[in-house]
Amino acid sequence: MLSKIITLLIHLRRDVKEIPEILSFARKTSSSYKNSFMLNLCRSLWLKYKHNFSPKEYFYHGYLAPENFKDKKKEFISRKKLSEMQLKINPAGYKLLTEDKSYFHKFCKSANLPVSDFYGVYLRQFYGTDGSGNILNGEKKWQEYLSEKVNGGFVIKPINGAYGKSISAFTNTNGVIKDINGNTISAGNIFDLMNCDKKYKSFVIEKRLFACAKLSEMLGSDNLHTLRLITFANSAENAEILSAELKIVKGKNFAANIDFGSTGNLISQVDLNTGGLVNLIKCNQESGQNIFLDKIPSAGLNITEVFIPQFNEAKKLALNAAKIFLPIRYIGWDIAVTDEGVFLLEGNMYFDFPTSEEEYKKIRKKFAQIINDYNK
Amino acid sequence: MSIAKIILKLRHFKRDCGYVSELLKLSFSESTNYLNPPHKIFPHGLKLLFKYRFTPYFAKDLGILNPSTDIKLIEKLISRERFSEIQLKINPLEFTPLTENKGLFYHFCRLNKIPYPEVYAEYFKDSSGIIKDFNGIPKETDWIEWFENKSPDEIVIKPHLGVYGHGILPVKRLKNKLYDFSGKELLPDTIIDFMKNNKEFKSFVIQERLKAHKSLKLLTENENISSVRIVTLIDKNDDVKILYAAVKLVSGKNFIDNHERGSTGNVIALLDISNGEIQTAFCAADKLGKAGEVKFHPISGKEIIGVRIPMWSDLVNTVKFAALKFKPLRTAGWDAAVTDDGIKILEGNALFDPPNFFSKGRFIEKELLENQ
Repeated sequence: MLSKIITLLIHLRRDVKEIPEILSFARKTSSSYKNSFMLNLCRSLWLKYKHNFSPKEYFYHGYLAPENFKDKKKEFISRKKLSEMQLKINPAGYKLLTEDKSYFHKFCKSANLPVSDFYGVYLRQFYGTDGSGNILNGEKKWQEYLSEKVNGGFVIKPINGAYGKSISAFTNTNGVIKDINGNTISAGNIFDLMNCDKKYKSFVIEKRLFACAKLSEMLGSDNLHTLRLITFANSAENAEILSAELKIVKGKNFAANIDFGSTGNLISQVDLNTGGLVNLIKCNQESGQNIFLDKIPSAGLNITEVFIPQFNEAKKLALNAAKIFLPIRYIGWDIAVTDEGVFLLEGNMYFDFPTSEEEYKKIRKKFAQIINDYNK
Repeated sequence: MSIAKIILKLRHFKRDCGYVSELLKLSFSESTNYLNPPHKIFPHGLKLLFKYRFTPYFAKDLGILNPSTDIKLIEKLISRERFSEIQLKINPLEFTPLTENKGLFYHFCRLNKIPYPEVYAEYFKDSSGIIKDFNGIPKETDWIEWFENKSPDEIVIKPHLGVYGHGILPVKRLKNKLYDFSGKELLPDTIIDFMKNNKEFKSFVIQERLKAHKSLKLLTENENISSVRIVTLIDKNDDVKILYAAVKLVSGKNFIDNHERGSTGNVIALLDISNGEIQTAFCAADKLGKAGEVKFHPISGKEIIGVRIPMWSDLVNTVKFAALKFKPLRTAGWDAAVTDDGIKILEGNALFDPPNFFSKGRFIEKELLENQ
């Protein structure tokens, strides 16, 4: 009984947090589609409780649009349902290996998989450690470490963050630390940033990577464009790549995340054989519809001319990592292609399905087939 | 008050209700053993719970639930709750699953070349499992086929999150039939049912069965593993210190070496950390919960005191090597097996039990506090 009350309270807490978003999206859509607020509110609640879509999911996928409401939701699955499906293939007990960036780093290092240099982990409720696991106990130790020992570009990421949230990048030149906009910032401010973040309590600090010169030139930004490869491991000797996408950073954006189109970044399907871009997509934040582009907006290059450098090395790395990370079978890898080689940025066992509709359907079909075979 | 705080308070209330109900049951069930009425045991248990933070079953296992226990003895011991708090000042909570989940633990040992018992397969109730050398996701028929014909002749099935030897199923094949170690025949279906319908655990690791080093086999007259528990602490200079070492000697036909306050009949013996020599040993507890000191193994009759654990320096070096690999965890209790093929690390425990048995809990508490 007490357990049930606790569960109910947890659900209530989550739902209460979503009320403003639900109301705001219902209001926005009623003015865009010229229909009643109550109708949109009812549709919102139906999508949320019947199909488990989060308010952001149904709004940015355009499910509240009258023409989409009836059919489109059948093609896509909610993040929640997708996670349930993924857990049938990927054991929950292993989620720390991919969902916690400090574990991910530790395991990749142990397996000799290339990852960026690890400078440390900050744990608010405990202390933190430097890259070798030595304790940095207290604010003063952290300040000394950040200003004296962490040189060059570095990135701070929440250990269990997703979608590029709460990521910051800095450069330390002879003890002078600057943020991504070139403003000087003290080591104490960086410590405060980690210590006062409202959502996350633990962060990893790692070397900042830049896109390789060739890719930067083609895509018009040297920030990190991220290659997403989805792999499936049959055994420790046999794995396959199912899909490839490239997340392209727009202008001065630091992270390549799409976030329902809010970042302005682009995403492109990648031909698995050639590494060439296939369908370049810009997500329209208002309608939720994908817009297909022929050219890279910032560089003006036609997408048929863009081939990802070191694509074969990236594929080899993902396949190798997939075999090592078994019993997690399905993983979405984020890979950085740099002048120093390819590096694993992240592995995601709860990865989102590809943005391009064609790839989405392909992966969904494969997923359903595996679950079906397994259940036979 | 925020919903989060209400949830937290309710969780604590639920936990405390559970303890009080356990205590109530124990007050009646232990009344005859302790020669004390329930109305004396219950308030004594409440005092242990709320003042010293000993949970009822932990207090019973330590033999201090009896209201006649000398208060000085109680104060020499340390509760698991208090000990965990100290451990979490040394070990970041975020990293404790690295040792508490056997799947992650063995995976990490493999990547870091720490010797461990070979893992043949992993079974998950709610997810796809994995069988070594099997291509794809094994279905139930594949599991049956594997247990029946392809699995090694001797295997051990352990829950990923098991403790105190609970939920372990050893299996051996004899003339194409499968048996557990008590000699009961098992069908592959029965083994799968054991994992699939297990109420306590959701996932299992299926691994190599290890056999004790010949000298330990002679001492115990049992080929099953008598594991060595070594508690390590990485100090501020990055040196690995050994704080405590003990060996659990299996007895009779036992497969598992857990002592459980003597209820299993196994022996627990304190080791000299400089050379691995047995100093003192305890066996079964009496009705009052007091364990009896022994000098001879209860089954073989051989003298225990003074016996040295074979390959002691290899064992210490392996444990120290493992301890450094598991940083930022800085203290752990390692269970290691000494076999004819060398040392194998069976388990690491970032939240190990306080070794109250030899009154070492307070000593380790002091060391940990000095090094936090």
